[in-house]
Amino acid sequence: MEPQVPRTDQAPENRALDLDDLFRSTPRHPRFLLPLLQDIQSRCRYLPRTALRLVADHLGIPESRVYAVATFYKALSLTPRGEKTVKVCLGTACHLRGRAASSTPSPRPWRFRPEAPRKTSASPWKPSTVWAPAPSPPSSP
Amino acid sequence: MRLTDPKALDEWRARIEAKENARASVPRVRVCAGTGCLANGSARVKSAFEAEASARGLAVPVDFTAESTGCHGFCERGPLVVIEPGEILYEKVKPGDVPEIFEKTILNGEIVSRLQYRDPNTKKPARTSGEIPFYARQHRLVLEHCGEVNPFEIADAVGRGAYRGLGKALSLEPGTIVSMIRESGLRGRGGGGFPTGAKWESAMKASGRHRFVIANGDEGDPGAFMDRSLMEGDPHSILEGMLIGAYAIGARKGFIYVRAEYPLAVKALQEAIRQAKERGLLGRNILGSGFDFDLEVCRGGGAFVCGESSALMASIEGRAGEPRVKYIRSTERGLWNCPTVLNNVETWANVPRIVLNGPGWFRSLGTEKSPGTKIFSLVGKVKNSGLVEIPMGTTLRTMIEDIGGGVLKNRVFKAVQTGGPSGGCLPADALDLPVDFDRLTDSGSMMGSGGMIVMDERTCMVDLARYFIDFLVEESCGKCTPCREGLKALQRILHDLCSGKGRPGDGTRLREIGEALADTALCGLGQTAPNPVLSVLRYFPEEIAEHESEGFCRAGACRGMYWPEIDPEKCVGCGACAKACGTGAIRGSSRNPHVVDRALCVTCGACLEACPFSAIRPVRRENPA
Repeated sequence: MEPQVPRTDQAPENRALDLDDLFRSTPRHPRFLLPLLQDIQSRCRYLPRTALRLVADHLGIPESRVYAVATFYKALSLTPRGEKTVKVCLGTACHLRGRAASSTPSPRPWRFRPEAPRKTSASPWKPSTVWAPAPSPPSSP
Repeated sequence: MRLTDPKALDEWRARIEAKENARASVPRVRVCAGTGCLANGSARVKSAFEAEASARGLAVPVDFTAESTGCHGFCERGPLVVIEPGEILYEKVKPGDVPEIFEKTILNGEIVSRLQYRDPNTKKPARTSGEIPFYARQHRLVLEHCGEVNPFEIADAVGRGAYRGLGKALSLEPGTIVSMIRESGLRGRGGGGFPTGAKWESAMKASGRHRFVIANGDEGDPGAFMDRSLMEGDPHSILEGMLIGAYAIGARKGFIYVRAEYPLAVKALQEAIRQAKERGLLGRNILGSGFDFDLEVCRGGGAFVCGESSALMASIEGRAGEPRVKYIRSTERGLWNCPTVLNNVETWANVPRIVLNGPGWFRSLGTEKSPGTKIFSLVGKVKNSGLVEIPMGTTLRTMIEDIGGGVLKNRVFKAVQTGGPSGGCLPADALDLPVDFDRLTDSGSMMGSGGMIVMDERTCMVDLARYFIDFLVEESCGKCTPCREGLKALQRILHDLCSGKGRPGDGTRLREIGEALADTALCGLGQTAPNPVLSVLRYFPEEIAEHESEGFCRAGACRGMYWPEIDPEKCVGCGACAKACGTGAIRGSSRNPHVVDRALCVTCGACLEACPFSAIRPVRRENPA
């Protein structure tokens, strides 16, 4: 069976985004762009396209600038992140002490599937690995 | 209660101190709630203490915050418990030990010796944390209150002397403060080592309607955590330093930029700011001096490059964190093109102490060119990992052998890596090098933020360079071509070298690309990015050569580039390697020398790690892959 991953087009894109309180509490100045996107990210687990537009309107800046920031920082994501995030530390100390240990735990015993890889890398070593769970049961907002 | 003048602050401090003294003789229990101790079950230990106290009808306060005991850096020995009075330290405390501790230590002042820390080399028990060599050889100046004060309680900090420097600073002329900092010789603790006084002076003299101060808490080095501990453990010292700096250069607004991965630091700083505002230590007319200053915490977005000053400012302005060329200094045109002083959080925390004790006192610590102390995070293959604050000029040997307790499993020391991804590694014959900004730079490494990673013979230097370059490729912002493409070129060669596909001339190519990158990259991060590779070429050329032409990894770290061989003379047949082997490639009967079946061996290195007698060593392959 093809494992299921939350797909962008199934995301609650059309669901009314309840972000009014965030906008109300954020002054209309471009410097609040990053904090505002971070708040939306932590609420929605990603940055819906609609939200980017709303943010641009609210702060009075072009959508392109919102997009530039949204794609630059690792803490932000344009596709939904998993409900749970497993991070494997591969800091220098961990790299030295735990090289023999596997950094890619088998997803099989869990009903997990790794988040679709954004790009393939020659190295299996990543600073952290993000896993997204299969969407069952469906998460209700 | 708002403090309206410096006298009110002094009176408040006197009241807190009197209260502290009154309860100094009352028994108290402090249980560490640091992440490591919590994972080891310190929450259950704390409940056990509370239950025991109420069962006995005694009022013994049990403190339970990471900060009230401080993370001792001995997380692997947790849960840690400290009993006052006497500061008696117990390690690996289990709920079952609590009645005994109560009976003996709290009620009768006796020591439960089986719970004491013992030196791994001398086996001597330590009564208090001060008797542990790890602490005894340190000079805790900036970290003085980390672990003593509750960061979420401003009264605690004030009781230990916080904001005394501010009180003094407000009675001085701004120019006097700047010259004090200049005379002290304080240099930027973020790694560059730029003289702080010169920075302040230039910002003070620059013209502009607004001025800003920024604290850099975007600790991106994957092996370091000193800024984190400072922000989480003693946020008020950073606030106080920034207040003094803002007063000196005439700024009215400041920002603290904290890594997104440090939620506790964000919380501690935000709470510290809130409480300082409540007391009138931030905001309008601070302590009745007419000086206004406001502070804000900015959460980073998880980009390593944002630790670079101009990228950090771009990030605060709400843009992508890309560096700019700094032909005009930030002190003249920084944040929103206004004069800006940006210092590392550790630099800021030094400021109140200098103002209070004078530049002469500060100069008495450390070396002539690098006065003061520096915090290092000592990690890797060392017995006592943790945060270490030492006067500048202390040798690497003192740090690693005395404070760090030597190399894990008593293996042979190979190298120490300083400065994180921007730094380099130093071999064993550099161990007597005194650590300061200039000496480290001269030897091809750098102070960096203060990561110090100890490596033993099982660490492959080529693999380590590959690790750092992998990290940097991922983190390069991509604005300038040398960094974006140069790092990728280095990465390709290093990956080939580590997988047995090295070609003759790879070492030369690495050097050429690395040197070009250092000369042409736009920002400090790019210019220092080839350091990990260049320092390996400088100190470990033989390892590069072996990877390049022989397909051999002498550390046994690169897969498929060696065979593990068991020395029958040294092997006692304990079976540790066979147990560790995941493919069943090691055979042998108990108490007889074992052998490796090369047909099954996948060269994972588990046996090399497992052997307690160093009887297994990597040997060359006849036909390398």
